[in-house]
Amino acid sequence: MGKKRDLDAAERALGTLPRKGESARARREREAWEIRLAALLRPVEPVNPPPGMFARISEHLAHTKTREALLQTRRSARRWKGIASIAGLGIVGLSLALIAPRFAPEAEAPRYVAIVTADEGGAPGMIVQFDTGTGIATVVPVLSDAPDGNVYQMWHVPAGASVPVSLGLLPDDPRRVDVKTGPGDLFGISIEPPGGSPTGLPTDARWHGEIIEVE
Amino acid sequence: MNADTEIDDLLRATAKGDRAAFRLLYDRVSPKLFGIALKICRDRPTAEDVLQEVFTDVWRKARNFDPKKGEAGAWLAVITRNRSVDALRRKGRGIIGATTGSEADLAAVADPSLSGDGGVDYLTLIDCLNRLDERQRNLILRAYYRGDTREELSSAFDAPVNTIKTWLRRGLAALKTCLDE
Repeated sequence: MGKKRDLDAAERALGTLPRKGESARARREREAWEIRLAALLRPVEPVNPPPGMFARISEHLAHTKTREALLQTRRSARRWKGIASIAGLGIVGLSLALIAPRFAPEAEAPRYVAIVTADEGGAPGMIVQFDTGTGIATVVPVLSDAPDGNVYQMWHVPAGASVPVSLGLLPDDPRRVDVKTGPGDLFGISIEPPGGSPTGLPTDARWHGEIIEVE
Repeated sequence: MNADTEIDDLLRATAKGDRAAFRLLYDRVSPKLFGIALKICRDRPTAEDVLQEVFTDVWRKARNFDPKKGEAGAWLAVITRNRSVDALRRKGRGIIGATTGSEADLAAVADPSLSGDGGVDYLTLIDCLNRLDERQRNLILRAYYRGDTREELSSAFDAPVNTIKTWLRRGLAALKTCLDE
């Protein structure tokens, strides 16, 4: 490596040159200097952070994750709506048509649906529908067995909340769930060890879907 | 299992979304990282904000950790140092007063007898820093611990920015030569 390039990397590590816009190679060179200089941090005395700091971090992470998932599902919902308007028969309507005969009583009241899709790839994991007239929410599972002996667990994040609430393990067949939902709510599925989440929060949430009103 | 292997393992589990491992990692390293944030920010609320940013980074980017490039503890310390410097710059020096402290704490860092046991890497680095002339050493330490820009160093050392650049780069080049010996 040239001397100038190496000294530029050292200055970016120190912060006397900006890091923004560096190439992958330049980043690796800067990181090598960062690790070299990190020895200067070894003698720094530990100080206990205040109690409640981990809870604050967890809450921030849950909020960030929820916001990201909402943005993604909004994009996804727009895409589904676009497909529906072109095809003349929306996927949401189709989903309801499939489940309506058994699970959605005739009603004029607004109905809501969430198609809970994989964060990677967009394949559906379950469909949640809620009839405000009857107050009945129904889950239609699409996923079957979870990998490696694990289980799927369902979650509900009410609009404005940042902490998910468990709805129990994903059932094998369509069934009613005890939840009231509306616009802005988010549903998700996580992969959990046998028996469900050991912490009361999702361990590995990979499917998300936002509630939208069915017209 | 030594401490760094344990942190490596916890980081790897965190990268897979293991919240229990993330909690253990927090318990294990947060006092050290909070100490670093406090040393650089010198303001408790800012250091708490930094710690939150650091663990948010760790949860989301743990998979970027590559043990071939360095120890897990060093990787976490670097994230904390960089986040602390970013916070100082974002908030403005006037509020926190990071440029107004004495030079004594910098001198103390460069004196192993005053700084406790920092390990072999630390002693080697300090030995090499102590071979630099005092001005070069203080420039490097000040940029590192306080996040001073070239312009701020220019003001603190009462020298033109180009001169600061020259001193700084001569110091870094000499440091590298010494570390490679």
